[in-house]
Amino acid sequence: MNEVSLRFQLVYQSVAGSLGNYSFPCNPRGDVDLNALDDRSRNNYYFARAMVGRAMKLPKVVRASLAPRINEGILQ
Amino acid sequence: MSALDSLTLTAIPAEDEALRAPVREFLQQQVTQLPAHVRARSWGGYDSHFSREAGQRGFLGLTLPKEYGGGGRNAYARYVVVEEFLNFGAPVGSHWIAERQSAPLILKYGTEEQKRHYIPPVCRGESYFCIGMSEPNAGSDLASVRTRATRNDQGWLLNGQKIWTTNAHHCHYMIALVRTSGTTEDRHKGLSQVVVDLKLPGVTVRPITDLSGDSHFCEVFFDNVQLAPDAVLGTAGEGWEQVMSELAFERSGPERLFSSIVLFDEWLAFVRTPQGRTPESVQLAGKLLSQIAPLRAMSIAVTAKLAQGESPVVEAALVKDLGTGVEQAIPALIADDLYRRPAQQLPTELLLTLNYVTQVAPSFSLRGGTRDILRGMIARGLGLR
Repeated sequence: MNEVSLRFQLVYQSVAGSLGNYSFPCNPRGDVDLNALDDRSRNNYYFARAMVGRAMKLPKVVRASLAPRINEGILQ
Repeated sequence: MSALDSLTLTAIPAEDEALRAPVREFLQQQVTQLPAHVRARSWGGYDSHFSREAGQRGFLGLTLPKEYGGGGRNAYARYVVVEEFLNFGAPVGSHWIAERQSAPLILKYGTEEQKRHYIPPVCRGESYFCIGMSEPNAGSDLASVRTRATRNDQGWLLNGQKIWTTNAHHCHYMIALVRTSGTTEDRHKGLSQVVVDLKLPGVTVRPITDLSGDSHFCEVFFDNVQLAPDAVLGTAGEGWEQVMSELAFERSGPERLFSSIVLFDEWLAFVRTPQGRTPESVQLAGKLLSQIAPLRAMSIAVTAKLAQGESPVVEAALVKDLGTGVEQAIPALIADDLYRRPAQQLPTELLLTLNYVTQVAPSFSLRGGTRDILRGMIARGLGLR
């Protein structure tokens, strides 16, 4: 993952805050480099994607400086 | 007699059921090492090596006559093989359309020369076909096709465009529905089916990337493509009747029940583990099975009609309409089950498979005839239209 991509985050927000939020480093288009994620984060990424429209809202690309605290792909 | 009255509970004959063991043995060798999210692609998955191996073992063209390289067996035998292919998530996409409908169509309408030329390599898993029906303004309204083949000294000159053509970029031939006389105002009249060699000059194939990142669908352009005089399949001007007959092959198989079956199995494997098992998940497993089982019985009943030489168009539409509903419900209900659980307890492969099936599930009720089209056919079969 290059330096530029680290400045963006793909943020999945849960509906009504039921699941917490998830955030992953991405490029400006929202592409996440799965090889750069550890196993735990990768699992969270697949989980968040699968829950869009159910427990999660559509993801948004935000500048990392504007994203809430990130912890291994999970926003607490 | 209504469509429902005509479906009779049927058992697969023992001699055809006996095929299941060798097919499973073959699939254990060829497929089980593939991860679930790859196997979930099943008839969207493309592997020409697999198709050739299946052909060598006599698992393709089972219902086609032996004189053309087929198995000379009945529709039950093919049902058993196809059901196992789908249950395992075998990558059947390369031979799928050729074996399911193109070769049977050629057998029904082709000349002796066409049968001997096209059918044997399909049975060997070496020759692949796509279907040229939909156009940018002619999908569900198929009678509006504008692609035209015009008679000339050398045969037929083809011009026009097809879209949503599955696997055209991997196929050798397309059987295209084209207009050979009249205008779009003539609707069903003046349509014909032609066999197009996709390597001919003037053919351009452009893959379309879908939501999942795969490229199954293609746009296909014909720019003054010169076809031979014998490119017409069947009778020129009777393409509409032939296409309706072809669609009966497309809609009558078990593939309209099993699009989500690899995901269902992957989820069941998780539910069988101590951390995966909850009262709600066990209840859901029973609920889903109770929907799949009668649909399978209906699909076998449709197969019985095929085995008797009938063309169960309405019954197949009924099974497809109900079957795709269940296929689409499976990823949604499994996601409902998983989202209350901590993400870290969930197997990555299960999540990956759920991701893929969730993305493609909306297409289940579009491909092979939309829900509206099918319900129109069912209504007609019930004497309501």
